[in-house]
Amino acid sequence: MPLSEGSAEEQNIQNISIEQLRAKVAVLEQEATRLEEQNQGLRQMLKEQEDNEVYIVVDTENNRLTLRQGDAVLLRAVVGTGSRQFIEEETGRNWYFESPMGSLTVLGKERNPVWIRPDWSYVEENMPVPAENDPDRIVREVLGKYALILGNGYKIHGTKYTDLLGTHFTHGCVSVGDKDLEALYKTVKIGTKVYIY
Amino acid sequence: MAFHQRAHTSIAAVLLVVLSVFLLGMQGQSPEDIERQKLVDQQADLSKRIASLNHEQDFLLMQKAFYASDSKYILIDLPTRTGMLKYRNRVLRTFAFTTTAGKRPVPRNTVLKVTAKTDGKERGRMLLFGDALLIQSKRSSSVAGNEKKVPRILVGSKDFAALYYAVGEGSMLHTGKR
Repeated sequence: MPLSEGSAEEQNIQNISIEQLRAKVAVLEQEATRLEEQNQGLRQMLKEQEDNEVYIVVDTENNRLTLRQGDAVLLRAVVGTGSRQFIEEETGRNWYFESPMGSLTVLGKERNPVWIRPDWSYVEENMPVPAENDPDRIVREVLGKYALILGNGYKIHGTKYTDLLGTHFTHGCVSVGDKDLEALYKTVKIGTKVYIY
Repeated sequence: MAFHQRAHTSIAAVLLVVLSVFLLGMQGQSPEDIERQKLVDQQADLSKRIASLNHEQDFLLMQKAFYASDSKYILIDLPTRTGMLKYRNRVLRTFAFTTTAGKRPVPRNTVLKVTAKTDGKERGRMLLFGDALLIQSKRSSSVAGNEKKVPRILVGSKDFAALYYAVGEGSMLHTGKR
């Protein structure tokens, strides 16, 4: 039985010489300094990857678009995204209307965009599909005043069906109301990242 | 007057006793004891600091890994009851949450992995992180069986829908600093 009271740890400390304690503290100081230096390096490296670029986030589940810069929100908009509908042509060709998920880039900006009706648009309406260069495919004033091109036929554009904003009603593009579209067009540059999830 | 004198005498007596006890205590402390105590305190402070730096390093390394990966992940800040859905260094969504008063608290400074996404009328939608944590919508916050013991984070229904579809099995969550 130990004569004095106290925890086992206190007993151990009493058994350690002052020199040993000093050495232990010195080792801990070195360890803390090493970790501080490593963390400083990591923080710096992460900071270098941060940027102040504007980017667009589209939440397809809730049909919401957010324009962000770092942690700050510059714009929130109610949008329309892919209908998640499936159509099939008699020939077997089929289409699934979903917004493209993942990390995309604004590849171009358009004023008064023109819609070139794709094949599925005719199939959907049980109309014969015209030749590829048929001028009937050119439709004006249905995509609003501006469009941001995302590639593979996908765009962020305006809509005539503003009542449907907030629902899944598009063929994969992101439809935005006029005011929000103008704000997006004015803020976003070619090269801006778009994250659709 | 007599009352005041008696009071002064009593206070002086108490102070004398306190001083005596203090001086007796000092007598037993040699310079070596004082240094030993100082070193022991220093050691305790340094150990705490190292633990905190290790936690920070875990978080920074996780961030580094996620900045280079193609997976979405969730960061939870328990003191402020806020979270973020992130992709690389981008914020996709911020959300607020509440926790349920369970037997076990939500683990702090821990990296967790989505082990299951439940669906269906019986269990409702949940994001399960083993038996360490589950996330569900405030609207359907009932659980059954073993899940009753699991710490829960409840988020708004829109936030939950976004999280539920954004992450998959294997997606990571960190319950540390933002």
